[in-house]
Amino acid sequence: MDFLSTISYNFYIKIKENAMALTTQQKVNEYFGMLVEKYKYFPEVKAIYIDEYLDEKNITILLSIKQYDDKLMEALIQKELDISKIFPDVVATYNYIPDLIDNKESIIGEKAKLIFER
Amino acid sequence: MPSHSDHIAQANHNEDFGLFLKGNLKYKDWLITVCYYASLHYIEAAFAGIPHIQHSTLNIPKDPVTGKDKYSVHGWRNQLIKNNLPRQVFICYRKLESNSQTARYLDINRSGSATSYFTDQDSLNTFDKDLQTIKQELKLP
Repeated sequence: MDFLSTISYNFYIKIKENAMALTTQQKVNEYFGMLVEKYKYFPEVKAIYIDEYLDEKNITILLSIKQYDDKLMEALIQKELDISKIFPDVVATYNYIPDLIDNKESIIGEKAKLIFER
Repeated sequence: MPSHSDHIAQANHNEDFGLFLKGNLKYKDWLITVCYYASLHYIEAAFAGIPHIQHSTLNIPKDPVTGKDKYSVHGWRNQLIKNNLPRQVFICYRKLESNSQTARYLDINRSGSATSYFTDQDSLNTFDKDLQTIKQELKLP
């Protein structure tokens, strides 16, 4: 490979890497957008925080309920399955927090980002 | 690595303790928690019978650069349940997982407590409904 070909090849690799990084970030953004879309219709959902641990997405959903509601919990978990059908390769953990915990910071984490609030 | 029968034995042991706790719902937070741990072992028993899984901690994908696990055990286990076991198993398992976490968090950071958040019937349902559904769906005795 001559000098110009090497430069062209390296340039091509760099562009490809950037494109892949962008694609990954776009996918993450789409995933988080889908989260809001699926959960915002539950009036009990007060806020959604997102965080990342390793390659895993951590989603913390704050609920307004003070008493356990089994049907609501099933419906919320069904949304996990709905989202997973659209993004089968994304590994995520979901936490549903009732409105009974004082020290929410200990659960949400310092680096978590708020993506939905009402 | 624990075998299918090891997991079944531990699940039965946990379930027996759940049966004991059903007799005194003062400890319903522990009833919920023990149901979660029973379900965890029933699910690992099911995984032991699936050759490409065997155990949820065995095949967590690695980062090609660092060689470290890409996902937590909890996250990867949920992914395996979602992709390999009946839908109802995933729903009931996730309820047990979430409710046991809530029961434990409420004990630490309480402005309410697990014993007020969950009714007696809610805690009984974790044993009679969610745990039994998992066993039935997995065709376990």
